[in-house]
Formats: sequence, structure tokens, C-alpha cells
Amino acid sequence: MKGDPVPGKDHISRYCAPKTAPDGQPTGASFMPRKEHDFLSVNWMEYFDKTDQKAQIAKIREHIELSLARNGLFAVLNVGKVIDHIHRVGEKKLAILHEPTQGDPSHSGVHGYQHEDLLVAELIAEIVIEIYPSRQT
Amino acid sequence: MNSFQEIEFDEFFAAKTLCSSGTCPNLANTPQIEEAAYEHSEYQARWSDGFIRFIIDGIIIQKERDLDTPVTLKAHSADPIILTTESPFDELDEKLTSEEKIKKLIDYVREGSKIQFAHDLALKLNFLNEVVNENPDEDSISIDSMRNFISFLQNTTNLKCPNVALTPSNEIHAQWRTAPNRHFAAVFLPTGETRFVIFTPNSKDPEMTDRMSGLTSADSLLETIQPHKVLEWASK
Repeated sequence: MKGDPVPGKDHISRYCAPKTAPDGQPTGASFMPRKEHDFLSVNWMEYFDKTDQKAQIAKIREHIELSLARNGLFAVLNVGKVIDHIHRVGEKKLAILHEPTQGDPSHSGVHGYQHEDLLVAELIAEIVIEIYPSRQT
Repeated sequence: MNSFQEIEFDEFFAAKTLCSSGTCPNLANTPQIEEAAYEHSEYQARWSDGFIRFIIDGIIIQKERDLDTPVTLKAHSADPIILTTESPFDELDEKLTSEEKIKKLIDYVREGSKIQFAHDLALKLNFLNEVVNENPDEDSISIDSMRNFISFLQNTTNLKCPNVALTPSNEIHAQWRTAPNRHFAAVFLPTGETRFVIFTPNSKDPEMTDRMSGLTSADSLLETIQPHKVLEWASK
């Protein structure tokens, strides 16, 4: 349901446009919310499929309401680790909430930091656990 | 009539003498001027009614002059140096589009700048410019952000070529990273400020990582990061 926390054991993926990850690795810039947004847009991976990460990414590609660039990528993060790491090191309390839209039912948001919080963005970038190409290869 | 009294020096040392005569002692110690001595750059020094300006490879170093003091090579107060980066075409290019200005800045990096890794950097900036232009909804790269970034690189010799990305607002995000605890990232804002993050080994316990962040002006960034040993991994 909209506004529910995404479970800590689950995962989220962040679409990283090529301009934020030009060398094929996410950077802090990949995790900076837009100035006009209150949260960082992500997708809840287990929403579609409980176990198979490739199948989850395939579903996210299908529903995401963004045009995916050829050289973009998806960065996968563990929900609990993001919250704990930022709380412990960045001294910020983040919340990852389900924010479904009509076209993208797994859409979620990382709340609790702004565009200016470079430290938080850099800390998130260092705990990425997996990377997938933005388009099916 | 041009209000500048232009003085073109045949040799760097004439400029150096002018600076070290006591008129502008801080200018004599300015890295670009020192660098010009060794690399025989083209430069100009100009007096106007209120300023002395050195123009070296497109970088303007400007110092305010006390109007009550005659134009002399002696006796000048040491006011702070105002350092700005302007490409030589800035005043001429009012009519250029943002995209054309970005291309000119990239050309300047490649062909006119003193940056040691100019070619690699120009390739990276060109790639970013292309990916931004592929999306018709995107604004161009922030020109002032790029200008501040280039100025920082020109003023900081021996740096390694950073990874360069763009923030969602298309400001330059530069990163020097060799390990999780040797990480320096900076976002160059159009205002001349810089947000930075440093992850560095703790000086007492190298197993621990110090993590710090801050906001400073682009021209103070180097001195701000130096105590945290960033140059140990970010420079050659």
C-alpha cells in the first residue's frame, strides 16, 4: 500500500542514467535526488518476484516510467543496509517507502535527504551490491 | 578609448619584477604566474583605473588597487586576490547557445588549458555532453559549474584525472577514488561554491575511516582538503 515501508530484508534498484555513471559504475551523483523532488526514486525489487533478481529487473524495465538510455544501469541495494549505514555513518534517518504509480507498481522512494546531502549520496553509492544493464542484453 | 593601460611584457621576469617590487606581493606568489615562468605561457598584465589584471591562458587574476596610490611599482596593500576563470571568448560569445559554449569550453580544455590530462578530460566532458544532448528534455551541462571545475584543475597541479559525472542538475561531480577509505568527491556549483566529501584513513587508527563533508569556495577547495591527505591518492 502507498506509504508502507519496504521491508528491511528486501532490495531496491536505482536507475542510474549514463551521465551519473559514465564509467559503468554508479557514483554519488547517481543517488542525488532531483532538486524539485522530496525523495530519491527507486523500485522495490521483491514486489514482482520474491527470489530471482534477473526476473525482478526485467519486470522493472517493463514498468519503469523513464526512457532507459543504452549505457544506463540499475544499481541494487539492500533496504536495511541503506537505512543502517546512513543512520550510523551519515547520522540521518532515512525511510524507504512504497510509492506506487499507476504505470509503475513497484515504484518507491528513499525519504529523508535532499539534493544537497552529498555525503548521504556518496554513502549510498558505496554499498551497491549488484549492477544490471539498463536494457536487456 | 580603452580605459586599460596595457603593458605587454616580453619576458615573464619583467612581470615578476613588477609583482615582487612591493606593488602586488601576493600576485608574485600566485601559482599561475609562477607556472608561466617555467612554461613560457603567453600572458598579459593590464592596469585599469582600479585593478591590475594578469591574463594567462584565459585565466584572469585580478587585484584591486588603491586609487589614492599612484600607479607605481611600490607600496601597495596586499588585498585578497580575486581569482576567476573566464575563457577568452566569454565576452564575445553572448550570442552563442549553451551547447555552443559548452563545446568551446571543451575545446579550451583540450587545446588551450594547462591541465596535464587535458585530452582525457576533454573526452570525458564530451561524452557527458553527448549523453545530455541525447535527451531532449535535459538542460545542457551547467556552464558555470564546468568553468569552476576547470579553474580548480588548472590551479591544482599534479592531480590525477578524476572520474567525472553530472548531478541531476547537470553540475560537475568529480571523484578521485582508489579505495573505499581513499575517496574524494566534489560537486562544483554554478555559484562558485563546492560541496565535497572525503573518506580517508583515521590518522591514529588507519583501520578506521574518517568521513567528512563540507561546503567551500572552489578556489579554497585545495587548501580545505589538504590537511586530510587527499593529495596522497588524488595526485600523481
